[in-house]
Amino acid sequence: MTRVPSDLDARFRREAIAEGLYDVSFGIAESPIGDLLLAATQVGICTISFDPDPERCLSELSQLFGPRVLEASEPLEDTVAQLDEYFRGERQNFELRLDLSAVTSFRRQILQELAEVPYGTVTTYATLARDAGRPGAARAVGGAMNRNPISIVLPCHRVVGADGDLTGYVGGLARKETLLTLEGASL
Amino acid sequence: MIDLTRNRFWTFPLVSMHIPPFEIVYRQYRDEIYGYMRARLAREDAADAFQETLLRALRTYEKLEHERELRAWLYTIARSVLADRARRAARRPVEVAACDAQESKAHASCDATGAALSDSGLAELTDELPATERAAVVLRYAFDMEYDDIGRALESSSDAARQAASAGVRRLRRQLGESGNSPGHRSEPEPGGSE
Repeated sequence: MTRVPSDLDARFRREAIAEGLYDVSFGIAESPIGDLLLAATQVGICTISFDPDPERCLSELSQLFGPRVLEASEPLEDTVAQLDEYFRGERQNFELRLDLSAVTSFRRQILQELAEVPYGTVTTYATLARDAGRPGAARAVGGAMNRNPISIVLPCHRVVGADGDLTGYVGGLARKETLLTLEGASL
Repeated sequence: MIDLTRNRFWTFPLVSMHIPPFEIVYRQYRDEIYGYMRARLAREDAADAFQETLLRALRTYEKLEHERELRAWLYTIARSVLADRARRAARRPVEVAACDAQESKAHASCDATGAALSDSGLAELTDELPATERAAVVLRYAFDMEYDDIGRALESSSDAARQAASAGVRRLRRQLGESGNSPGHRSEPEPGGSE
Protein backbone atom coordinates (compact mmCIF):
# COMPACT_ATOMS: atom_id res chain seq x y z
CA MET A 1 0.00 0.00 0.00
CA THR A 2 1.18 3.52 -0.80
CA ARG A 3 2.28 5.19 2.41
CA VAL A 4 1.67 8.83 3.18
CA PRO A 5 5.01 10.66 2.90
CA SER A 6 6.16 11.97 6.27
CA ASP A 7 6.36 15.55 5.01
CA LEU A 8 2.76 15.37 3.81
CA ASP A 9 1.67 13.89 7.14
CA ALA A 10 3.42 16.73 8.97
CA ARG A 11 1.94 19.29 6.59
CA PHE A 12 -1.59 18.06 7.23
CA ARG A 13 -1.09 18.21 11.00
CA ARG A 14 0.37 21.71 10.86
CA GLU A 15 -2.49 22.95 8.73
CA ALA A 16 -5.10 21.36 10.99
CA ILE A 17 -3.58 23.05 14.02
CA ALA A 18 -3.21 26.38 12.20
CA GLU A 19 -6.91 26.28 11.31
CA GLY A 20 -7.84 25.35 14.87
CA LEU A 21 -9.41 22.08 13.74
CA TYR A 22 -8.67 20.20 16.93
CA ASP A 23 -10.06 19.64 20.37
CA VAL A 24 -6.89 18.08 21.76
CA SER A 25 -3.35 17.96 20.43
CA PHE A 26 -0.99 15.45 21.96
CA GLY A 27 2.55 14.19 21.78
CA ILE A 28 4.94 11.84 23.50
CA ALA A 29 7.97 13.48 25.11
CA GLU A 30 11.04 11.68 26.37
CA SER A 31 12.16 12.62 29.86
CA PRO A 32 14.61 11.37 32.50
CA ILE A 33 11.69 9.62 34.21
CA GLY A 34 10.37 7.94 31.08
CA ASP A 35 8.05 8.88 28.25
CA LEU A 36 5.38 11.43 29.06
CA LEU A 37 2.13 11.81 27.17
CA LEU A 38 1.43 15.54 26.85
CA ALA A 39 -1.88 16.93 25.68
CA ALA A 40 -3.34 20.39 25.23
CA THR A 41 -6.68 21.86 24.28
CA GLN A 42 -6.94 25.29 22.72
CA VAL A 43 -7.29 26.63 26.28
CA GLY A 44 -4.11 25.10 27.64
CA ILE A 45 -2.33 22.00 28.84
CA CYS A 46 -4.82 19.37 29.97
CA THR A 47 -2.68 16.27 30.48
CA ILE A 48 0.81 15.22 31.45
CA SER A 49 0.60 11.51 31.98
CA PHE A 50 2.82 8.52 32.60
CA ASP A 51 0.09 6.34 31.12
CA PRO A 52 1.71 3.39 29.37
CA ASP A 53 -1.43 2.94 27.25
CA PRO A 54 -1.69 6.03 25.01
CA GLU A 55 -4.72 4.69 23.17
CA ARG A 56 -6.70 4.48 26.39
CA CYS A 57 -5.50 7.96 27.31
CA LEU A 58 -6.59 9.30 23.91
CA SER A 59 -10.05 7.78 24.32
CA GLU A 60 -10.42 9.50 27.67
CA LEU A 61 -9.29 12.81 26.20
CA SER A 62 -11.73 12.36 23.34
CA GLN A 63 -14.62 11.81 25.72
CA LEU A 64 -13.64 14.71 27.94
CA PHE A 65 -12.77 17.38 25.41
CA GLY A 66 -14.01 16.28 21.99
CA PRO A 67 -13.12 13.70 19.34
CA ARG A 68 -10.78 15.83 17.22
CA VAL A 69 -7.72 14.45 18.95
CA LEU A 70 -4.61 14.88 16.82
CA GLU A 71 -0.91 14.29 17.35
CA ALA A 72 0.85 17.61 16.78
CA SER A 73 3.90 19.19 18.30
CA GLU A 74 3.32 22.91 17.78
CA PRO A 75 0.82 23.50 20.62
CA LEU A 76 3.11 21.62 23.02
CA GLU A 77 6.44 23.20 22.16
CA ASP A 78 6.43 25.62 25.09
CA THR A 79 5.47 22.89 27.53
CA VAL A 80 8.23 20.62 26.29
CA ALA A 81 10.77 23.43 26.52
CA GLN A 82 9.78 24.24 30.11
CA LEU A 83 9.86 20.58 31.12
CA ASP A 84 13.35 20.31 29.63
CA GLU A 85 14.45 23.27 31.70
CA TYR A 86 12.86 21.73 34.80
CA PHE A 87 14.65 18.43 34.35
CA ARG A 88 17.94 20.26 33.79
CA GLY A 89 17.38 22.04 37.12
CA GLU A 90 17.04 25.40 35.39
CA ARG A 91 13.35 26.02 36.10
CA GLN A 92 11.45 25.99 39.39
CA ASN A 93 8.08 27.36 38.29
CA PHE A 94 6.07 26.64 35.17
CA GLU A 95 4.46 29.42 33.20
CA LEU A 96 1.76 27.60 31.30
CA ARG A 97 -1.94 27.94 30.71
CA LEU A 98 -3.81 24.93 32.02
CA ASP A 99 -7.17 23.49 31.02
CA LEU A 100 -8.85 21.97 34.07
CA SER A 101 -12.36 22.19 32.65
CA ALA A 102 -12.82 18.43 32.99
CA VAL A 103 -11.90 18.45 36.69
CA THR A 104 -14.61 18.71 39.35
CA SER A 105 -14.74 21.94 41.31
CA PHE A 106 -13.55 20.30 44.53
CA ARG A 107 -10.53 18.73 42.86
CA ARG A 108 -9.75 21.93 41.06
CA GLN A 109 -9.74 23.76 44.38
CA ILE A 110 -7.27 21.23 45.74
CA LEU A 111 -5.11 21.46 42.62
CA GLN A 112 -4.97 25.23 42.91
CA GLU A 113 -3.63 24.86 46.45
CA LEU A 114 -1.22 22.22 45.20
CA ALA A 115 0.14 24.62 42.58
CA GLU A 116 1.26 26.92 45.40
CA VAL A 117 3.49 24.31 47.07
CA PRO A 118 7.01 25.66 46.46
CA TYR A 119 9.70 23.89 44.49
CA GLY A 120 11.96 21.72 46.62
CA THR A 121 9.52 21.44 49.53
CA VAL A 122 6.93 18.89 50.57
CA THR A 123 3.56 19.17 52.23
CA THR A 124 1.08 16.66 53.59
CA TYR A 125 -2.39 15.62 52.50
CA ALA A 126 -3.83 17.00 55.73
CA THR A 127 -2.10 20.36 55.30
CA LEU A 128 -3.32 20.66 51.74
CA ALA A 129 -6.87 19.85 52.87
CA ARG A 130 -6.68 22.50 55.57
CA ASP A 131 -5.23 25.12 53.21
CA ALA A 132 -8.08 24.43 50.81
CA GLY A 133 -10.57 25.10 53.59
CA ARG A 134 -11.50 21.44 53.82
CA PRO A 135 -9.94 20.22 57.08
CA GLY A 136 -10.61 16.57 57.55
CA ALA A 137 -10.69 15.89 53.81
CA ALA A 138 -7.16 14.46 53.69
CA ARG A 139 -8.38 11.22 52.10
CA ALA A 140 -10.24 13.14 49.39
CA VAL A 141 -7.08 15.14 48.80
CA GLY A 142 -5.29 11.85 48.27
CA GLY A 143 -7.93 10.98 45.66
CA ALA A 144 -7.39 14.32 43.95
CA MET A 145 -3.63 13.70 43.84
CA ASN A 146 -4.20 10.26 42.41
CA ARG A 147 -6.31 11.76 39.62
CA ASN A 148 -4.16 14.81 39.00
CA PRO A 149 -4.31 15.17 35.19
CA ILE A 150 -1.21 17.35 34.86
CA SER A 151 1.61 15.62 36.69
CA ILE A 152 4.87 17.48 37.42
CA VAL A 153 3.43 20.90 36.52
CA LEU A 154 0.84 20.43 39.25
CA PRO A 155 3.34 18.96 41.73
CA CYS A 156 1.52 16.13 43.44
CA HIS A 157 4.94 14.54 43.93
CA ARG A 158 5.48 17.16 46.68
CA VAL A 159 2.68 15.70 48.83
CA VAL A 160 3.72 13.10 51.38
CA GLY A 161 2.16 11.34 54.35
CA ALA A 162 1.94 12.91 57.80
CA ASP A 163 4.92 10.85 58.93
CA GLY A 164 7.02 11.90 55.95
CA ASP A 165 6.55 8.68 54.01
CA LEU A 166 6.29 9.07 50.27
CA THR A 167 3.11 6.95 50.46
CA GLY A 168 2.15 6.75 46.78
CA TYR A 169 2.33 8.39 43.37
CA VAL A 170 0.41 8.00 40.15
CA GLY A 171 3.70 7.51 38.30
CA GLY A 172 5.15 5.13 40.88
CA LEU A 173 7.25 5.84 43.98
CA ALA A 174 10.56 5.67 42.09
CA ARG A 175 9.53 8.61 39.91
CA LYS A 176 8.30 10.53 42.95
CA GLU A 177 11.63 10.07 44.69
CA THR A 178 13.54 11.07 41.54
CA LEU A 179 11.55 14.29 41.18
CA LEU A 180 11.98 15.25 44.83
CA THR A 181 15.70 14.48 44.65
CA LEU A 182 15.99 16.60 41.51
CA GLU A 183 14.37 19.48 43.40
CA GLY A 184 16.66 19.00 46.37
CA ALA A 185 13.82 18.31 48.79
CA SER A 186 14.83 16.81 52.11
CA LEU A 187 13.12 13.45 52.45
CA MET B 1 3.21 31.43 37.34
CA ILE B 2 0.65 28.77 36.57
CA ASP B 3 -2.54 30.38 35.35
CA LEU B 4 -5.64 28.62 36.59
CA THR B 5 -7.94 31.59 36.23
CA ARG B 6 -9.49 30.45 32.98
CA ASN B 7 -10.81 27.36 34.69
CA ARG B 8 -12.91 29.09 37.29
CA PHE B 9 -16.18 27.63 36.13
CA TRP B 10 -16.67 23.96 35.61
CA THR B 11 -18.63 22.91 32.56
CA PHE B 12 -18.64 19.32 31.49
CA PRO B 13 -18.28 19.15 27.70
CA LEU B 14 -21.11 17.46 25.86
CA VAL B 15 -19.43 15.14 23.40
CA SER B 16 -20.36 11.87 21.82
CA MET B 17 -19.16 8.78 23.64
CA HIS B 18 -19.11 6.77 20.43
CA ILE B 19 -16.71 8.51 18.06
CA PRO B 20 -13.09 7.37 18.37
CA PRO B 21 -10.27 9.91 18.61
CA PHE B 22 -9.60 11.26 15.13
CA GLU B 23 -5.95 10.27 15.37
CA ILE B 24 -6.92 6.61 15.45
CA VAL B 25 -9.17 6.93 12.41
CA TYR B 26 -6.53 8.96 10.60
CA ARG B 27 -3.79 6.39 11.23
CA GLN B 28 -6.06 3.58 10.11
CA TYR B 29 -7.06 5.09 6.77
CA ARG B 30 -4.44 7.72 5.82
CA ASP B 31 -2.40 5.43 3.58
CA GLU B 32 -5.50 4.12 1.87
CA ILE B 33 -6.86 7.61 1.15
CA TYR B 34 -3.47 8.78 -0.08
CA GLY B 35 -3.23 5.74 -2.36
CA TYR B 36 -6.69 6.52 -3.72
CA MET B 37 -5.55 10.02 -4.64
CA ARG B 38 -2.25 8.87 -6.10
CA ALA B 39 -4.10 6.44 -8.35
CA ARG B 40 -5.96 9.37 -9.85
CA LEU B 41 -3.70 12.40 -9.62
CA ALA B 42 -0.10 13.43 -10.07
CA ARG B 43 2.00 13.51 -6.91
CA GLU B 44 1.60 17.19 -6.03
CA ASP B 45 -2.10 17.21 -6.81
CA ALA B 46 -2.58 14.00 -4.83
CA ALA B 47 -0.88 15.56 -1.83
CA ASP B 48 -3.12 18.61 -2.01
CA ALA B 49 -6.24 16.47 -2.45
CA PHE B 50 -5.23 14.22 0.45
CA GLN B 51 -4.78 17.19 2.74
CA GLU B 52 -8.04 18.76 1.62
CA THR B 53 -9.88 15.51 2.27
CA LEU B 54 -8.58 15.13 5.79
CA LEU B 55 -9.14 18.78 6.67
CA ARG B 56 -12.73 18.52 5.45
CA ALA B 57 -13.10 15.40 7.55
CA LEU B 58 -11.84 17.24 10.62
CA ARG B 59 -14.26 20.10 10.02
CA THR B 60 -17.24 17.78 10.33
CA TYR B 61 -15.87 15.02 12.53
CA GLU B 62 -17.32 16.25 15.79
CA LYS B 63 -20.80 16.30 14.24
CA LEU B 64 -20.80 12.58 13.48
CA GLU B 65 -23.24 10.69 15.60
CA HIS B 66 -21.71 7.22 15.43
CA GLU B 67 -18.55 5.46 14.34
CA ARG B 68 -20.11 3.19 11.74
CA GLU B 69 -18.97 3.47 8.14
CA LEU B 70 -16.10 5.83 8.87
CA ARG B 71 -14.19 4.44 5.91
CA ALA B 72 -17.11 5.03 3.56
CA TRP B 73 -17.53 8.50 5.04
CA LEU B 74 -13.89 9.33 4.27
CA TYR B 75 -14.23 8.04 0.71
CA THR B 76 -17.33 10.15 0.20
CA ILE B 77 -15.31 13.21 1.18
CA ALA B 78 -12.41 12.11 -1.03
CA ARG B 79 -14.70 11.71 -4.06
CA SER B 80 -16.21 15.10 -3.36
CA VAL B 81 -12.73 16.65 -3.24
CA LEU B 82 -11.88 15.03 -6.58
CA ALA B 83 -15.11 16.26 -8.13
CA ASP B 84 -14.45 19.79 -6.90
CA ARG B 85 -10.91 19.71 -8.25
CA ALA B 86 -12.13 18.40 -11.57
CA ARG B 87 -14.79 21.08 -11.70
CA ARG B 88 -12.16 23.73 -11.12
CA ALA B 89 -9.85 22.12 -13.65
CA ALA B 90 -12.61 22.08 -16.26
CA ARG B 91 -13.00 25.82 -15.81
CA ARG B 92 -9.28 26.55 -16.06
CA PRO B 93 -7.52 27.14 -19.37
CA VAL B 94 -7.28 23.80 -21.09
CA GLU B 95 -3.50 23.96 -21.23
CA VAL B 96 -3.36 23.63 -17.44
CA ALA B 97 -5.82 20.77 -17.32
CA ALA B 98 -4.02 19.03 -20.12
CA CYS B 99 -0.73 19.34 -18.27
CA ASP B 100 -2.28 17.75 -15.18
CA ALA B 101 -3.82 15.10 -17.35
CA GLN B 102 -0.54 14.17 -18.95
CA GLU B 103 1.07 13.84 -15.52
CA SER B 104 -1.74 11.50 -14.59
CA LYS B 105 -1.69 9.43 -17.73
CA ALA B 106 -0.08 6.48 -16.01
CA HIS B 107 -3.22 6.27 -13.92
CA ALA B 108 -5.70 6.92 -16.66
CA SER B 109 -8.43 4.52 -17.62
CA CYS B 110 -7.40 1.22 -19.13
CA ASP B 111 -10.04 1.74 -21.71
CA ALA B 112 -8.32 1.55 -25.09
CA THR B 113 -9.70 4.81 -26.36
CA GLY B 114 -8.84 6.54 -23.12
CA ALA B 115 -5.31 5.20 -23.24
CA ALA B 116 -4.97 6.44 -26.80
CA LEU B 117 -6.15 9.86 -25.72
CA SER B 118 -3.68 10.03 -22.88
CA ASP B 119 -0.78 8.71 -24.89
CA SER B 120 -1.47 11.11 -27.70
CA GLY B 121 -1.70 14.20 -25.47
CA LEU B 122 -5.12 15.48 -24.54
CA ALA B 123 -4.47 19.14 -25.16
CA GLU B 124 -3.67 18.64 -28.81
CA LEU B 125 -6.21 15.91 -29.41
CA THR B 126 -9.17 17.61 -27.83
CA ASP B 127 -8.37 21.11 -28.94
CA GLU B 128 -11.07 21.13 -31.62
CA LEU B 129 -13.84 19.57 -29.54
CA PRO B 130 -16.82 21.58 -28.32
CA ALA B 131 -16.26 22.74 -24.74
CA THR B 132 -18.67 20.33 -23.03
CA GLU B 133 -17.45 17.31 -24.97
CA ARG B 134 -13.87 18.29 -24.31
CA ALA B 135 -14.46 18.64 -20.55
CA ALA B 136 -16.32 15.31 -20.40
CA VAL B 137 -13.56 13.49 -22.27
CA VAL B 138 -10.83 14.99 -20.11
CA LEU B 139 -12.63 14.25 -16.84
CA ARG B 140 -13.48 10.71 -17.90
CA TYR B 141 -10.16 9.64 -19.36
CA ALA B 142 -7.60 11.80 -17.59
CA PHE B 143 -9.21 12.03 -14.19
CA ASP B 144 -10.92 8.62 -14.29
CA MET B 145 -14.09 10.11 -12.90
CA GLU B 146 -17.47 8.41 -12.76
CA TYR B 147 -20.20 9.87 -14.95
CA ASP B 148 -22.19 10.87 -11.88
CA ASP B 149 -19.31 13.04 -10.73
CA ILE B 150 -18.69 14.42 -14.21
CA GLY B 151 -22.36 15.35 -14.44
CA ARG B 152 -22.10 17.25 -11.20
CA ALA B 153 -18.86 18.91 -12.28
CA LEU B 154 -20.48 20.09 -15.51
CA GLU B 155 -23.69 20.99 -13.70
CA SER B 156 -25.67 18.56 -15.80
CA SER B 157 -26.66 14.90 -15.42
CA SER B 158 -24.87 11.58 -15.48
CA ASP B 159 -26.54 10.68 -18.78
CA ALA B 160 -25.63 14.01 -20.34
CA ALA B 161 -22.02 13.56 -19.22
CA ARG B 162 -21.91 10.07 -20.74
CA GLN B 163 -23.37 11.32 -24.00
CA ALA B 164 -20.93 14.24 -24.12
CA ALA B 165 -17.95 11.94 -23.55
CA SER B 166 -19.19 9.49 -26.19
CA ALA B 167 -19.84 12.26 -28.67
CA GLY B 168 -16.39 13.65 -27.99
CA VAL B 169 -14.74 10.30 -28.54
CA ARG B 170 -16.69 9.74 -31.77
CA ARG B 171 -15.67 13.15 -33.00
CA LEU B 172 -12.05 12.44 -32.08
CA ARG B 173 -12.12 9.17 -33.98
CA ARG B 174 -13.42 10.93 -37.03
CA GLN B 175 -10.71 13.55 -36.70
CA LEU B 176 -8.01 10.93 -36.23
CA GLY B 177 -9.29 8.94 -39.17
CA GLU B 178 -9.35 11.98 -41.38
CA SER B 179 -5.80 12.93 -40.41
CA GLY B 180 -4.55 9.41 -41.01
CA ASN B 181 -3.35 9.25 -37.42
CA SER B 182 -5.53 6.37 -36.31
CA PRO B 183 -4.69 5.00 -32.88
CA GLY B 184 -5.70 1.54 -34.06
CA HIS B 185 -8.60 1.13 -31.66
CA ARG B 186 -11.45 1.91 -33.94
CA SER B 187 -13.09 -1.42 -33.37
CA GLU B 188 -13.13 -0.94 -29.57
CA PRO B 189 -16.51 -0.26 -27.98
CA GLU B 190 -17.22 3.28 -26.98
CA PRO B 191 -16.37 4.06 -23.37
CA GLY B 192 -19.95 4.56 -22.36
CA GLY B 193 -21.21 1.48 -24.10
CA SER B 194 -19.84 -1.12 -21.74
CA GLU B 195 -20.94 0.56 -18.52
